Amino acid sequence: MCTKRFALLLVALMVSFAAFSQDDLENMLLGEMGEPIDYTIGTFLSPHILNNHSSELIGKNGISFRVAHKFGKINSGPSHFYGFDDSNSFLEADYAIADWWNIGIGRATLDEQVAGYTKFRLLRQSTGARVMPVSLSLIANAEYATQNFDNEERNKNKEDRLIYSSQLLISRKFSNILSVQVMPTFIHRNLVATKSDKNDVAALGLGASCKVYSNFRVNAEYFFVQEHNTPSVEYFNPLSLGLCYQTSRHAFEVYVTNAQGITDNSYIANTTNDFFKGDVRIGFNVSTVFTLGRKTAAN
Amino acid sequence: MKIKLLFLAFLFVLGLNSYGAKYITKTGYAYFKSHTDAIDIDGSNRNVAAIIDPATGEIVVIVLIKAFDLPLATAKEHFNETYMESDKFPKATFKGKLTGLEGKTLAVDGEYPVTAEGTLTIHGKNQEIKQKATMKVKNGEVSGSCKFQVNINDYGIVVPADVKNRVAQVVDVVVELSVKPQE
Repeated sequence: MCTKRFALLLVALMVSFAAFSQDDLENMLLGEMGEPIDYTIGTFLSPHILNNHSSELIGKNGISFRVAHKFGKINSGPSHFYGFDDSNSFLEADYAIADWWNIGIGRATLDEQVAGYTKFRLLRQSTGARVMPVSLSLIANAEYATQNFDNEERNKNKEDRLIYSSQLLISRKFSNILSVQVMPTFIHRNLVATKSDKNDVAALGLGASCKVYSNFRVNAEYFFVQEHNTPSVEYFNPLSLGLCYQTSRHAFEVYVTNAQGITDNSYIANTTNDFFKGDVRIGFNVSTVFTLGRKTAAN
Repeated sequence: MKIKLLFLAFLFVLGLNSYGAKYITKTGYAYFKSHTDAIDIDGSNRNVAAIIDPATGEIVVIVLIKAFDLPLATAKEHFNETYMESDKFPKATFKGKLTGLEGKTLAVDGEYPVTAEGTLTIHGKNQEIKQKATMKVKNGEVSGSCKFQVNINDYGIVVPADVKNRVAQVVDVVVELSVKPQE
């Protein structure tokens, strides 16, 4: 009797084994796959937050053209068409040598500058098999003023026209809604306007991006600038607030800011308007991305 | 005596269950293409995992959504965030059976038309599908390929109104698997 029951139990057990074989198969496969590294994507919609770079990079072989504008002060009134009579721009071309390495070159109206940068992704935020709480990119930027200084004496050395800046871009995507970036920044000017001006400026930037709907986000940027250059001119910390929209090839940013410049030094260290007194301007960027050597669809 | 016999029978059945190596791959290929007049969006994935039990014809395929590469510059974010919601639904799976292999062993070179029938899960939604596929055996290497179409409506994938004309309702999919006996 006992053995018969035992036999029945065995048979039932075997049948259940057989019935679950597909799930076993799946489990076997999952075991083989191991846990994947789940990289966080879309921390920001584009390689820029508003004016400043974000920790995002263009994917390999991508070429991007970007036009950044800043208009005049809105409170300049109707005689200046609320600032639209007045604008400065920055034209830029970027190229992605690798997914982790972008370079770019641009030209700014202000001071007739030529600027170039190289940007590296060092860490990617991830979960799963490798847990990394933040993404980290490093950007090194150089600006060269082609415009002559007013004082002829100052035009002797070409290297005097150079300004270097570097930033660590540390970002974290907290959820599908919110991403935050911290940007320790260091700027070195080879030649400054007066003796009381500093050659080196340190700043700490904060950026944030908040998803509103689909491809729309509200973005913000702010820089605490360590010590402002000179007592004779009053400088302010730059603040930018705006909207960002992205399509498959284009990214648009429209924002208000108290900064006039677009390149690092003029944006971060040379802002002379006070946001809270209403000395704000409209900023508008548009960028378009192409991918070179696009792999053709297999088969 | 009886118990011994039963035990032996049990062992035998257990042995049968695991008899015959499973065929497996972790580097299978999946490709999709959304064609509209406005734009073609495609993506490929070379990390498709699949397992086939040649004894029963059962097959499981697992595709990690984030492993798709989309050559269009900003498409990967849209694909993962807006359409596939890969944080919520990290993988697509197919669990089913290959029929048409009965009485054939994969040891002989040749081309075998098969039918894959089972449950395809994309974006957290299940659909029963039945597709013709081809299995090839050449020099002991076993590979299979299947072309089919996915209607994204069936899987609850919503296209935002502003890009309706840029994303196809019916997406072409190709899956190619080259499997090896599991060690």
